[in-house]
Amino acid sequence: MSRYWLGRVAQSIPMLVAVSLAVFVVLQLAPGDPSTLLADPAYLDDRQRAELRASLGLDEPLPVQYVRTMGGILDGSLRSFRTKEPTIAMLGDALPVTATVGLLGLGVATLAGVALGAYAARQPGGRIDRALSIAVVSAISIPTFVLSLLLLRVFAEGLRVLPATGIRPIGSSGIDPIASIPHLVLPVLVTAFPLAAIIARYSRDAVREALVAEHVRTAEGKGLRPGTVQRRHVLRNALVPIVSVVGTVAPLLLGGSVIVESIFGLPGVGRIAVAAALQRDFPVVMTTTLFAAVLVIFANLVTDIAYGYADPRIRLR
Amino acid sequence: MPAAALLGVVALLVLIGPFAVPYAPEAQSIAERLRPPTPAHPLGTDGFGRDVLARLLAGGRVSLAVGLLSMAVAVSVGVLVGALSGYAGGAADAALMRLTELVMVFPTFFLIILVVASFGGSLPLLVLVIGLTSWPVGARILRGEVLRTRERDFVTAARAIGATEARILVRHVLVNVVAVVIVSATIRVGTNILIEAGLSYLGLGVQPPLASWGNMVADGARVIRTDWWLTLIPAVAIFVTVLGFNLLGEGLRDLLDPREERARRVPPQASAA
Amino acid sequence: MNKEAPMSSDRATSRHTRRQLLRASAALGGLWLAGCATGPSGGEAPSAAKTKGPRRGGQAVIYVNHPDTLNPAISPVSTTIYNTPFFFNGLTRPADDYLPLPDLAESWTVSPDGKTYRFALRRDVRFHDGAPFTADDVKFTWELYSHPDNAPGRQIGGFFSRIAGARDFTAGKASEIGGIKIVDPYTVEVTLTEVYAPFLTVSAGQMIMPKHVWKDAAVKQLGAHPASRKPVGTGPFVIESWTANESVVMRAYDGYHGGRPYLDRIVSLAVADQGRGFDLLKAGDVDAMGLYASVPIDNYEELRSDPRLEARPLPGLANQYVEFNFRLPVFQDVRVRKALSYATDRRALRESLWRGRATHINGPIHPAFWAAKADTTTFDGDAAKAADLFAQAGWKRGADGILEKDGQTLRFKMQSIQTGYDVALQDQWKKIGVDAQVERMDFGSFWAPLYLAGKTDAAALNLPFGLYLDPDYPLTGYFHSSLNRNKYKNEKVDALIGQATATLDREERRQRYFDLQETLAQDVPHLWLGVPDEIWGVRKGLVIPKKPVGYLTIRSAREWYRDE
Repeated sequence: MSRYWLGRVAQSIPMLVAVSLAVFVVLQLAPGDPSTLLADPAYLDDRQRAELRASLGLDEPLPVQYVRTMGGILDGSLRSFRTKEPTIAMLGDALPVTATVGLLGLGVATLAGVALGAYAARQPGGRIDRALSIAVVSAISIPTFVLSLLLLRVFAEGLRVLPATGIRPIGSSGIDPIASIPHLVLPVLVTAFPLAAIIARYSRDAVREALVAEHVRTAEGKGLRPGTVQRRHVLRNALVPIVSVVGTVAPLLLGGSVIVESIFGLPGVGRIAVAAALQRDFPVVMTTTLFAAVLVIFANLVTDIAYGYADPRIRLR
Repeated sequence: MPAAALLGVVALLVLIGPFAVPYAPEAQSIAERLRPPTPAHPLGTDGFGRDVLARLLAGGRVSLAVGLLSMAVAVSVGVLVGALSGYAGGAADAALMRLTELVMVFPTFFLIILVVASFGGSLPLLVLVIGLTSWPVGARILRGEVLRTRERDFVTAARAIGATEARILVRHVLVNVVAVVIVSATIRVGTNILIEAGLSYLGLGVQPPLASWGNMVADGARVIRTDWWLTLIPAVAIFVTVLGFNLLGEGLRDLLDPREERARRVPPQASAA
Repeated sequence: MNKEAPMSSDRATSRHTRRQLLRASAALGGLWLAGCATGPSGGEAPSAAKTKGPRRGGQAVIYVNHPDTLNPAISPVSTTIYNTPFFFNGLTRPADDYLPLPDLAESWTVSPDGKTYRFALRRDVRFHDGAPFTADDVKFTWELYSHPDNAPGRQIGGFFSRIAGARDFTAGKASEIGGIKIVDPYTVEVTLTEVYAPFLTVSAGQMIMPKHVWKDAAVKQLGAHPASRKPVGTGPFVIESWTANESVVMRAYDGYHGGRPYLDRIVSLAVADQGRGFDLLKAGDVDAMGLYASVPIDNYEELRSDPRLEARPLPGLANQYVEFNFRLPVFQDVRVRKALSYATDRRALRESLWRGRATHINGPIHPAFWAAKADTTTFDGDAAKAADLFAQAGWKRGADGILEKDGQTLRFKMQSIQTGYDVALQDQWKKIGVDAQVERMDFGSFWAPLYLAGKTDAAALNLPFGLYLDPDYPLTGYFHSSLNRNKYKNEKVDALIGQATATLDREERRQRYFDLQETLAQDVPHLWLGVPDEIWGVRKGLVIPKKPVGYLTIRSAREWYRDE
């Protein structure tokens, strides 16, 4: 079994190289010169700009720049053009924020989605089932930023029960989970909202399919109580497709973080990625994009593993 | 189908509407800024004194165009790659599937931001980038369907009576999977409209003065307490249109592909936006 | 509330004395003493005599800008000016009228030829880490700005290039700047190669860094040094924490030589979604916003009508203007430039686009400067005169209504970098038959590839000419024939730019600048439109002294206090 997983991990390495090359090429082709962003629009002469470019390592041959960039990410010698912080440290600071919101969002979405889906599946075509399907389609049609603005308007600016910005009380630093709870409510809700809808839809189908499966009928035939049947047989069988859908939506979290973090003022990965892209801060763009790719690959791996637990046949394949 | 009717109305408004509105969407009348709705400006004016109705309709054109065209790009590439991969098999299949995985692993939203921030938010670029990052799902579905269809009796029969490979591919396999493609493509349009709106909201998508629903929301949100309709109107427009495409997709699926188990073959496509 | 109090003493006493001294010095043509007795801790301290004086304590959350680095030696002027003054001081600091006030230097003298300055330094100043401030720090910092390996610091280094030996030092030909002499630990003598009027305000005002912290740092890697993120300075605030993309937290420095700040803490917030900045002020999360986070003009009424908030419009930093590229034959004709100016209705822009919250300017000198001439000739808002001038220059309306001459139509690209007026201007010009095609671009793809390469047609810009504490700074780069990017050449302009810094007499400088502004106004190399206000929003309960511009407001942070 471990050989299987090792193989899976090994497969992802060429993928990472390809992703990093692609990002590197895009950045090279981009017009605009990052050195101009470090100086005032007043006047540096051409020689001074050349010096600046050199100080950023932009005058080296491209392959050298590429290799240095890749190595630099890992050993921390690659630094942001602007803040001069090691990019890996910036990522390290931002990751807990994104991970907290993302994982809580995914957790809330999974709980809510599975519960709703299982509930609706009990009576296919019934009122609840139909209401759910309308709710699902509506939920995935609302833009994240609209939902965020709406919630902020109501809870932060109107009722003033939740903070309007940040991951912790303004002016504090470090990690204090209790103090951060109010700050997490809205971002987690917004993150969970569309995911819950999708998971609900797939859970409903999965539970429904499991319900009509033969061994469930057999179990019912044996006279087991419906509750026991649901727990023991139906949910277990429905788990495989549910795990797969959770795995599929996980990468979406990262994309969603871009908007959620911007609007809610969270210092997370999505936020630094956008800021860096807009400022041509190549090292940071490179690092965050590669990180995102790693995360997607990792999410796929985790899904596979979870899949293996839910359905032992997969591991044997 | 109500969804089709809804989209029909949206399309009609967006296509014909601009001719019926006496203002150009970019025309500023700075003397008439932030006016509430009046008979002259049924939806009021924005911060530059531009007619909101004119911008809503023009912005709709942009949003729909980006959604539809990027879907077309995604479907073309997806169908091509999926069909080739499924049909050819072997090394070609392996190579194409690696490519598909690569694009799937690529953090779509990050890539779009990177490209748009590097090259600016021009419309053709937006269409291309959104399209070229959203094809793998379709390609995979296609490939699966092609593989499945290939093994079915009527294809084997066609091969037996001497039909050429290409002919079989077009006549039987593609025709057989067209339902899946249509359903997936319809939902994709909605998803891509959401992506465009999200990018434009962040200032990375359609650039002003060109209107898009996303940048209209962003502009409006600045004065949400006093001129809330500037946010509400484009937000509702996005919601209704995306809802239309999602409902249409569902409806089409029921219509074209009624078997329950197939429903799951179009995987989720919630957008990152 | 007592918002006037903190600055009144400053206005009343020091400005007058200094001006009188200036005049006297001009008359004597010699030695003058600008430092006089008004130290920052003396006459500058906010008066507590009024009804409810400032009290200690409390915190303010501000939204003004988020720094990249807190190291003044590697920052461009635009960022040092609003991030580092919390933590650092210069030998001088600017008064509200931009004359130099004593800061780390308690006084100075100038030699009769105007080229040698002798600074007497304060003896009671300690850096945040407890080390005393001495003349060594001055020489060290100024050399660090000018160091050959300090490429990012070139801009500020330029302010020291007129010190004798500085150019050789920057070129790597000397091991020190000979013109900076440490006479004793509290006396520095500086010799310039030429008379340079902005020296006291601009050069001597640059932030002084501690030699003992930086002396072993690799100059090429200054940004990576821990002290670039945890600054050790002499300023009124000490850094407490800095979380990227979130906030900079600073607390009062008890040992501040100018007197401990009233506020205990200031939190400078980063806001990702700029549109949300005003929401946060409204919601009470932010106490004050301004400077680069000016309240948007669309929110001005909302700000003004909120009794919990104070609206404080100040002249913004940015000149809104169009640059013509003289490489295009059409722009070489002054009649065409004048006609375009006449075709522009600046009042309409001010009243409507900027909602009356903008200052008229017709010249490159920011209206807050003492050198700004408010009444230069402006060829403004007169379509008939515009048409006349185009006709004189041989341009006639073609079939499509666009002006034509010798088969050429009057059509050009106008690159627009974050301006709001571009489309309005395009509309105004269209009426007279000029087709300006607006191309909106971001700064990065505009600046080096197009502007510096001289490839623009007309550039619609929005640049902070008001940022530099002295009117001289941007003039050379934008108008001197040796440096400007548009091939604009006017010998009188070249001469005046040089003459205006070659005298220490402010009245004489003013005359040169007035002359320069009128010359430029007649020549229309740029088309100036106005300076929109920078609108500060301040939550009641936080008292911030009124200052003429935003970056002087930021510099007054020591005097801010809570009143509630």
